[in-house]
Amino acid sequence: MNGDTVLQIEHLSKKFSITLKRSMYYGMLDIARCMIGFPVDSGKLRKGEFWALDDVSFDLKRGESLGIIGVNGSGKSTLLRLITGIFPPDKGKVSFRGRVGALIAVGAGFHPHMTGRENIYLNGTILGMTRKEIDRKLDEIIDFAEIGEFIEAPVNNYSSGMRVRLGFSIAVHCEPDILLVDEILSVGDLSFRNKSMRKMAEFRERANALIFISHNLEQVRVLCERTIVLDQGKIAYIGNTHDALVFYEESSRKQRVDQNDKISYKIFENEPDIINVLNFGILNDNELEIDDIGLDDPLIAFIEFEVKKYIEEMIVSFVLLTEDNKRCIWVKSNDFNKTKISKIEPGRYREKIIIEDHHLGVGVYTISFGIANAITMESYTKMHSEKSFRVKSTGNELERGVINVKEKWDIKRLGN
Amino acid sequence: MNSPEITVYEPNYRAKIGFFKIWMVMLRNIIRSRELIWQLFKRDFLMSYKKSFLGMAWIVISPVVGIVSWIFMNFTGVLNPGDVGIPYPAYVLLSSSVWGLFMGFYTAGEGTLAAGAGIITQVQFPHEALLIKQTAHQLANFILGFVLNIIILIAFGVIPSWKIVFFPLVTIPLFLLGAGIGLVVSVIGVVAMDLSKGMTIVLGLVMYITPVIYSNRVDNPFLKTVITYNPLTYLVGNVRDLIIYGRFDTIEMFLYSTLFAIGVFLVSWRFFYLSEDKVVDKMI
Repeated sequence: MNGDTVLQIEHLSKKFSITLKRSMYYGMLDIARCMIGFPVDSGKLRKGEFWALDDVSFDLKRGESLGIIGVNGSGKSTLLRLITGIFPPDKGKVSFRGRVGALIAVGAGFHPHMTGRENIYLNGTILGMTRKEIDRKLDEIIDFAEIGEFIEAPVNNYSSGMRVRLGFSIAVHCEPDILLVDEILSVGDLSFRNKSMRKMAEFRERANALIFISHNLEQVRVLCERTIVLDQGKIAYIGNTHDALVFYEESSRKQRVDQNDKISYKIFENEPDIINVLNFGILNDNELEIDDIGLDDPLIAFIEFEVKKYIEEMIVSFVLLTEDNKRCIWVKSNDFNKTKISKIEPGRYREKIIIEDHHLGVGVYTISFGIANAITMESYTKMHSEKSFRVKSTGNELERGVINVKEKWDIKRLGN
Repeated sequence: MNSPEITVYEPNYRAKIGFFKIWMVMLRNIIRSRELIWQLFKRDFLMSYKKSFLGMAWIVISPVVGIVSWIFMNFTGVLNPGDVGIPYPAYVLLSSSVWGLFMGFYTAGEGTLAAGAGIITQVQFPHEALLIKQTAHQLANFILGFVLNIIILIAFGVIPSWKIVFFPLVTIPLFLLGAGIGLVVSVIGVVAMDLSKGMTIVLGLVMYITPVIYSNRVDNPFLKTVITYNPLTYLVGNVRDLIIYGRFDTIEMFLYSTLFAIGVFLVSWRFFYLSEDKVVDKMI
């Protein structure tokens, strides 16, 4: 480790067993081998094991802050536990300078019958503070946690928010050289969250190193210069935070599109005697089916169906939903008498809808179609089936809202 | 950097510490964790009686009830302990309280990892500290009961010998043996609860082949042999005899037993340190 590096992770790996039974059995085996002085070669996978963390390497310099993002189960918390030394690594190496402090679960070891003050001493000591240190910071801790007079009350009388605030307050006053924060700023109310964020920023300013794990990408953006994207225990991306977030959002959107299509049914509930829907989806300029479009591309959706009986006049409707099922677009072919689809003879048809400027922001959307008789208003399809697609980022845009606008900003001084 | 000390975690990094240095490291860890030990002791000992009306009285209630049953058996003639020189109730009271101390040390060791459930997987700290905290907990329980026992002893007309001042010294081997066995059970117990359950039964049986509720002048030749080679005969018996009669016989056997206890403890403590990191990730 050279001068400026405070934390160095080299080819770090950790494995777990899939089933509890096997985990216990291997535990037994490892202990036995340890007892006779032949420690196990932990670098190989045995039957029923998998890498929860696989060959992770990076380093952290003094004053740097690093974000770690990834879906649930990607190995974030395992990585944190390895860095703090709670779990020993199976392969690779962790080296660091100074004291590492981790905010993994706030209030570790709290005793419900002890008062807030007593718990500060207990928890502070568990986190590695000396009695003198706690004495010195006691008022600050109580202040920050906004506990006030309740500090003399047992913590089982605290609201869950108070308990978390107290735990968090103790932890941030620990002043380690390297602070690891796991998903913690999602606790407390808004004002406390903001205060915590300020504390984190302050911490970073003092040139201590910070590792920050969160699902809240905005917080990662604010706090971290560099970010790692973990995927199934491996580093999928490492680089400056903006690029990492774009990478993460894009890949997670891709996954969501695939997943959505897996769970939504492909077949319309329709009136097969009259109309049978064959397919629907999104097309590109060359009439090929795709599942992503660019911000400036036209949105071309299509539906293919087979008409079994003559229909005098029909309406095709198109709906586009955001991921949280809000209706963004709902249009019908006969709106404002745009198109009249009439005198339909039996046969196969493809209906296209072309939206030149879709104005959709980066994100995942779903579409569905409906077909009805324009005269009787009888519906031939029920809009149960959906298909997802993605509006791609060009590499700069993050998912911020549904509507994509081209805006200008202007600032003017109005006086004192 | 204000603290330039570099820490390294590698696979089996504990095994790479020198053979003798490993004990030094553990000792140093314990000394550094004094405050932690005190805080955890306070939490677990003082708080454990907060939600009870009788409070700390429970510490003496259970041994007293146990002793009453021995006395009852003696009174009805079911149990013939041999001549012990003092009233039998006083004998069994003291004897079983020394045995209780041994069991307390065992329980302390056995509960070492379990005592840290909830924090071991959240915070990194030397788990050796938990052994000391557990032991302190057991000692605190013991002392309250022991003081009461001495008072009862005096009520029976048995004045303890002044040599009782050596009590802390002569119980050290009991700690080493009890905690030693306990530490091994503690680690293996994480992956196989069977051992802790089995061991409790086994130690219950061991009491019957140790002169605790009877004197060591037994007639049965088989039992006599077992007693002779049972280190606990000396580790428990000598302590009891020191208090009751002020004598410390079979010093040689006591020393051998002590050496045995030291050996057991050093080996199992080392085992604990080397193998606990194979099981911590199974404590979640």
